[in-house]
Amino acid sequence: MAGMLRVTNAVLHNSTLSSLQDNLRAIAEDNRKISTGKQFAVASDNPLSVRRLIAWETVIERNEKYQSNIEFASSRLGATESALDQMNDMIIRAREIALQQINGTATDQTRANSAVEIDSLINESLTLVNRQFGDRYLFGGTRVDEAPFERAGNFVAYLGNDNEPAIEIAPTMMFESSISGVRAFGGFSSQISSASDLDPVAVMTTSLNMLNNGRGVEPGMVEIRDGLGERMLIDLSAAKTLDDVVNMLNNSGFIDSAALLPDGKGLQLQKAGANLTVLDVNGGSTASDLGLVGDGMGPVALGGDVDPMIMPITPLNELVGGSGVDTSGFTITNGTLSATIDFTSVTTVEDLLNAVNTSGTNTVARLNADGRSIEIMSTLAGADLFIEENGGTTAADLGFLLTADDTPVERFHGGGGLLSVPGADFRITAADATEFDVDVSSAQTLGDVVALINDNPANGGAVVAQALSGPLRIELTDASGVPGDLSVAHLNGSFSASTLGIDTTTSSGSIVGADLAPGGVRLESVFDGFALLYEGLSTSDDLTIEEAMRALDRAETGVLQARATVGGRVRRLEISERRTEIETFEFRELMSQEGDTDIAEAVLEFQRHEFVYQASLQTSAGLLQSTILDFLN
Amino acid sequence: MSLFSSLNLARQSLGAHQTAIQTVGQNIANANTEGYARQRAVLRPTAPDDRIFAFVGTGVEVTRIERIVDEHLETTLRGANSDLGNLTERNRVFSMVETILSDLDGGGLSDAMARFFDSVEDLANEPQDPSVRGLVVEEARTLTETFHYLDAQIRNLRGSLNTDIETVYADVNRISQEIADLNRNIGTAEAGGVAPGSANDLRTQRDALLTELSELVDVKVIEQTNGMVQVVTGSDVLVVGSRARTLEVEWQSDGDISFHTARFEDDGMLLRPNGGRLQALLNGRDGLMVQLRQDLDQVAQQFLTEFNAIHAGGEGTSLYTELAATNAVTGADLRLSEAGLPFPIEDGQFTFQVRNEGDGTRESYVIALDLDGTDDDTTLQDLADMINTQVGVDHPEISARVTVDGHLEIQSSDDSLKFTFRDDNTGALTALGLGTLFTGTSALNIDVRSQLMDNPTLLASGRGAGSGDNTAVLDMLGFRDKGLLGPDEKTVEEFYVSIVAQVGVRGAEARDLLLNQEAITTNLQNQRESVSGVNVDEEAIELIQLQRAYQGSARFLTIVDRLLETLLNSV
Repeated sequence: MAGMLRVTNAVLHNSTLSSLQDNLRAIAEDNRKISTGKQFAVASDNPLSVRRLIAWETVIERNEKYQSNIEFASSRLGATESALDQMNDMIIRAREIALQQINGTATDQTRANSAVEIDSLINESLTLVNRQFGDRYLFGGTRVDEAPFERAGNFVAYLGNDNEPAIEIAPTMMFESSISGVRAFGGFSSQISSASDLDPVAVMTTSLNMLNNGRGVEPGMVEIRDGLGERMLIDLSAAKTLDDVVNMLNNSGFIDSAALLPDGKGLQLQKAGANLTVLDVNGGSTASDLGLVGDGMGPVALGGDVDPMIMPITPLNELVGGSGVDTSGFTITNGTLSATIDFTSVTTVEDLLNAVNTSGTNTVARLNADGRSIEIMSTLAGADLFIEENGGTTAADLGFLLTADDTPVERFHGGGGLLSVPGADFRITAADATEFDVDVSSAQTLGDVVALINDNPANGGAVVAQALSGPLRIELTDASGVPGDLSVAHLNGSFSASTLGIDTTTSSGSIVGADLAPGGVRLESVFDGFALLYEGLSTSDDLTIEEAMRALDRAETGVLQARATVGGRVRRLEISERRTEIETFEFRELMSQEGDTDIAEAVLEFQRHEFVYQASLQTSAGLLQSTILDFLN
Repeated sequence: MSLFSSLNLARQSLGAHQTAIQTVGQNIANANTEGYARQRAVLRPTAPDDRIFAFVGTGVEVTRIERIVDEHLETTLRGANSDLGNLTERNRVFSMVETILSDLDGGGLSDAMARFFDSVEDLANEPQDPSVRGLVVEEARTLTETFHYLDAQIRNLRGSLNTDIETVYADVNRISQEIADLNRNIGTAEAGGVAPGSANDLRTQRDALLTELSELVDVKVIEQTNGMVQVVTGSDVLVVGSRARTLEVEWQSDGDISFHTARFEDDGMLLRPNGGRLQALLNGRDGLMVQLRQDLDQVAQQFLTEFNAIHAGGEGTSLYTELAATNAVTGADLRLSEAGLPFPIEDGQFTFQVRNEGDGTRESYVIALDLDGTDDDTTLQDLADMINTQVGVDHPEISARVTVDGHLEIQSSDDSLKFTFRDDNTGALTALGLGTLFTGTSALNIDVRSQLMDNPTLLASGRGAGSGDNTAVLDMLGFRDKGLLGPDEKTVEEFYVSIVAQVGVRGAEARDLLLNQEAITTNLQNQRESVSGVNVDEEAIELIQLQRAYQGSARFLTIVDRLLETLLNSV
């Protein structure tokens, strides 16, 4: 086409200019690529690549942060590991001392000397468990700014909590970078907790997410059929409280009324003359979560229990199905500390928790995790925790009292336990010569002991056992109906029968055992073992030293378990660290391939463009000079 | 037929060639004039003398001076010019936006967000460390300042586009007027039997103006029989006959910037071009810039709502003894959902918690907001009253009030009684700005709440389980990976990158189109040049040719003169 066109001076001029521009632009771009080392300067240079580059860059930057989080967690866990190892060494040392002092060569004097050693061991171990990492205490849970363990005479109190805060080591991957003093050394005792669901009632203002013990109500629709051919879908997804639900149901106009049942357990729907059916819609669970689902329920549909969870603000009189709890209060005794929880200013669950937590008895009260009950724990190692009535039934209403049947055997005689041996522990002989051997080593509670006797296949109802309370005892009754002796004799050198106080023979038809004098709830911790050992050594009491050895064994198991947990976490960290490193490396590779200038190629390009530029400068200089006018005269 | 008529023939020939030579001279003189179309003198034999037996030629005359112009090509070229102006401008807008958003070398919003999140990671590690808290507050400030900076840059760019638009409006007015004037002159010049199109140089001037105009707006040119042109842009007539429709430029404001719009003086309609620079500028100012600000606001609002909700329901290593809401209601007695708060607030409840610093106990009070749209809906005054009655019964030291300017203020006169909030399902804390991390509503005004700058221990990190509690921080980190934005549920960082990338894609498209259009326009210009352009060499040859003809005519005159002399001498 160009050949067909007239070429004018302006065309020559313009095309020279524009090709010079093109060449210069190319040279400038080459220059930028070489000097910055980057292929692209702005997104529009290559939007797809640039978007990838930014995404990879973000991943790499985040990984760098995760890497530093991992290092932080890893050094914190390292410090935790070494503290646990040292604690283990101390436990082993205490056990050695206990072993030395339990054998025949030990005297009161050697024991007294060893007691001094244990005393300093307790102080040493306190320094260890109060170890700091940076400016925070390692073993206080999330209470990191004060020493978590504190010595109070022979006892050691734990002031921390059982939280193990997590940090992020990969996107959305949380990692607990420490373990609490509870897990490591035993900070909390087992709980004295409400025996069962304290069953608060629902009120109109109860939030839907508190229902079903905190599982809540799925937002959605319910379908109501009146059994007369009419049905309606009602959208309850915006409801937040039972009040909202009731209003929405009433506003639908489809039923005569919806209301919360007077007992606060659930909802009730009414439509005169109808045969109500309530269904969930589209696989939802709104209706069943509200306890409304039912088929052909007649004109009045009674909903099921909506089971609200206990909240701090729940009034105590809404508990126990609305019957509330007695307000006489209860007493807490923990070692030498004691307090009466006075209910005059306690109206809500939160008030109760505050009252216990500030009672100065080294106890922690809180709602248990599923929101059904209140639990109280001792944080004082070495002490026994008892909760007793203050003249009323408050403790029983709250479920803090153990029944005779539920009393754990290890609490007998202030923690002495049942002292059973492998094999049968005692033999019971009834008046009708029914004779059977009982092995109580599997018994966890006094109730278990009772059941082992009553359910013994050879018993056949000849002997009936029963747990008695106040004082706690076991009673055996001869039910064989013939006159004669009922006797219990120990077997295999077991002390169980004497522990229960039933190793006797009687013709009166019944044996009432000794007062089992149950100890309180004990915080099984390293310090419990140390404290018992100190006590056993200083009073030179064989039984206490043996009990201390059992406690130390348990403590050692606990520390080793914590050590294993930490070890497992360190391995998780290492795997995560490796993964992060590999990912970072690979993304760097990709980024370099996608975004970095290939210098050799860029330099060659630069030279080529420069050559073309020079050539075009020369030719255009020649071309633009000549015109025919020069040749005219 | 006589020798005298031959003399006359020579005279005419000399005259005609002189005109032709002048035309060549004019061409050479305008060789560099943009838009100039070369001219040719059209020679024609004069009418023959038919008074004798045969038709005898009587000489030559210049009938007209012709502009060598391909009208179709001119129209195409004007269209191409509009497209080129449009794309040049569009490309310029995108490259300026890219410079603002540039995220490849750090310093941009992506970087600020990443650094903020990094500091939050540090806070998760060391929630008890005051220096880490200070760092988080500082990084949050950097983030808000980056939002301000970007917002200001986009506003500035919008302002500068507006300045360009104002200039274009003025140019359009000027050019329309000049075209209208030329229309009148051409109409006059070509009236009364003169061959149409003979007002060459006026037409050349008008063509140049039309070309200039076509760069600014799309231009449709309709030539009328009287030589005048009607100029239409979009669907609006700009010039009709000798009248230009003047544009009236007025100021408008959309809240935070003022900008110009143009209306026709006669009917008050807005000028709506379909092409040219103006359209690209208007699209940039009223489309891209507005969209960008909206996108940026969306990112800022995600931070505002998500972080604020988590922050307001958590607590730092110290709690509040005084707290002022940062958002005001328009009336203390208006229902909260209709009280002009910047974020939605709905029926539900939140917990007001009082902590006794002495024994560490906490008391919770549920503040229930009735906002179901019925008569007894909660107002801000009700809310303050609820706090005063519920909390005040146990703790008269704690009081709430609504200030005259509609802010809720809560105060504890006892330093050992502090308060915090929990479990808000109403959005009230975020909407009122109670205990939030950020204040403001958009990229323009997002800020770190000043109380936190003064006292970073108030920065919420946990929910009351001690200074090592980082549960609130973990929730904030969770926001980083939460897909909340757009139909494809992008995280806030992904969303921003997609904004940048989208500008990149459209910028790249604009650049490719521009390069294409440059090639097309150059090609068309070359075609036009090849039809209408002046080639000085050609003109020189033409000149030689005309010179020779002139010389011939002169020689012919000499010979006829000699013939006459011979004749006279013989008498």
